[in-house]
Amino acid sequence: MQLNDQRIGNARVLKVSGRIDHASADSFKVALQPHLEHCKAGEDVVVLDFSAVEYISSVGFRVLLLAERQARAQQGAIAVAMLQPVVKEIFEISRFTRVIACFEDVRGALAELSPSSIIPRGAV
Amino acid sequence: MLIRIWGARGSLPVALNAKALQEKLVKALVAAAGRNLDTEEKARAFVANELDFAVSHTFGGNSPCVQIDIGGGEYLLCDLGSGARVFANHVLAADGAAKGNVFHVFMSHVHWDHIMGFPFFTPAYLPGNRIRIYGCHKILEEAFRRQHSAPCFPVEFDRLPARIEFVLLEPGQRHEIAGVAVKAMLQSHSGDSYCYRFEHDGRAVVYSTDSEHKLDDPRQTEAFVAFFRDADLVIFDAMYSLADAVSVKEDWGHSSNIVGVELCQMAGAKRLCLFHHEPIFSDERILAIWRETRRLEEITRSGAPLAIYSAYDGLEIGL
Repeated sequence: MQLNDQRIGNARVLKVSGRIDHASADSFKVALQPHLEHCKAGEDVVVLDFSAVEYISSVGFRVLLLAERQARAQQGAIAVAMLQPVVKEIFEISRFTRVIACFEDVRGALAELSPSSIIPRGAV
Repeated sequence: MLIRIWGARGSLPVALNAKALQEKLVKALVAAAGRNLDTEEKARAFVANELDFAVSHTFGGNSPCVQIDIGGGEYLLCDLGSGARVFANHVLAADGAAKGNVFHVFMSHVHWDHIMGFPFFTPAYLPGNRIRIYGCHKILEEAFRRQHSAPCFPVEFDRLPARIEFVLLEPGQRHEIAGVAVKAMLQSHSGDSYCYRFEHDGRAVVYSTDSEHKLDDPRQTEAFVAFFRDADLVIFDAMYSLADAVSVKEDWGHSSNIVGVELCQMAGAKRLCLFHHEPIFSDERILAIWRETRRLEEITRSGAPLAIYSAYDGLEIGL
């Protein structure tokens, strides 16, 4: 599991790659934490780009749940975007599409969470 | 080894009501339009082979009771939910009332949906029967006695003619009971619950209901994987979706189909039976969850396939 960040306006777009499972969920949680601390009212919104995520297990979903709870408690906003077909199915079967906002692409997530961060198509 | 599900519903027994039955009939009639079903034989074949399971069947509504049939002369059960009444009727029809039988019952815990069948368990009312109730809760016998006490029930426990014994088991220890090796393990549930692993003649079945899996505890995950290791069948509490189990229903003591598949895959189990269905779920909803779970197993499979079942009252699984 790897996490690379990109700043777009007041949005942090975090590109996650690999598998988020029992072996890597703790690393995912640790890597996410510094970004979540700024995911609050008046600061950053966080978009998790899942286009390179191959698999997510229950422990990975728990990290997402805790991240969403923390963001909400801080009046921040977090979302997931670009789920690959298999991962999208796992989200739907687990009903996690009801827990954290999911978008078709990063641009759509930014348009919803941080309209001021929208930049011309093709840049993200 | 043959596993029979006598009660698959969790928390509270439910019944198919008139409206739901009518909906099934309407769907069946529409599906049969234009078909020449002018004999019962043709109609039965059509129902058995062509109708959707949620139209031709019901998952049923009795609360937990599972039989482990190893072909011996004694009966083995897990839990005494309302399904135990149906099991008892089956035994009486097969053996008659005069035959003294021995029943070995393994209790996951003593919440009401798991003990409520006992006041209507006819073998308890017949002298000559012997009922041995095993469990790991010190309150095991008291729970059954309380249920039979006024004002809850008119027949006091001590007036039951059968010989009834309570046997406390030590979790983690291997016990030889009625020709079966039995081991219990503590689970996370209000007031505690225990899962059981039964081994006989090279086959292993795990009964794990009313168990919440804390996803932030790798040691607990490892313990369950070891307990489920290479099981031929795992009967698993899949009452909630994963999202519900870890959010709005966190600490309600139940698990999900997702965690069931993951644990079974990690353990190399061969079959997973979704169990302890949510009482508000319709047959269509439970069927959809079964299909989703099969799909999940398919897209996450890395080794041998894991067969997915969804428990219904009357289901038999041969191992």
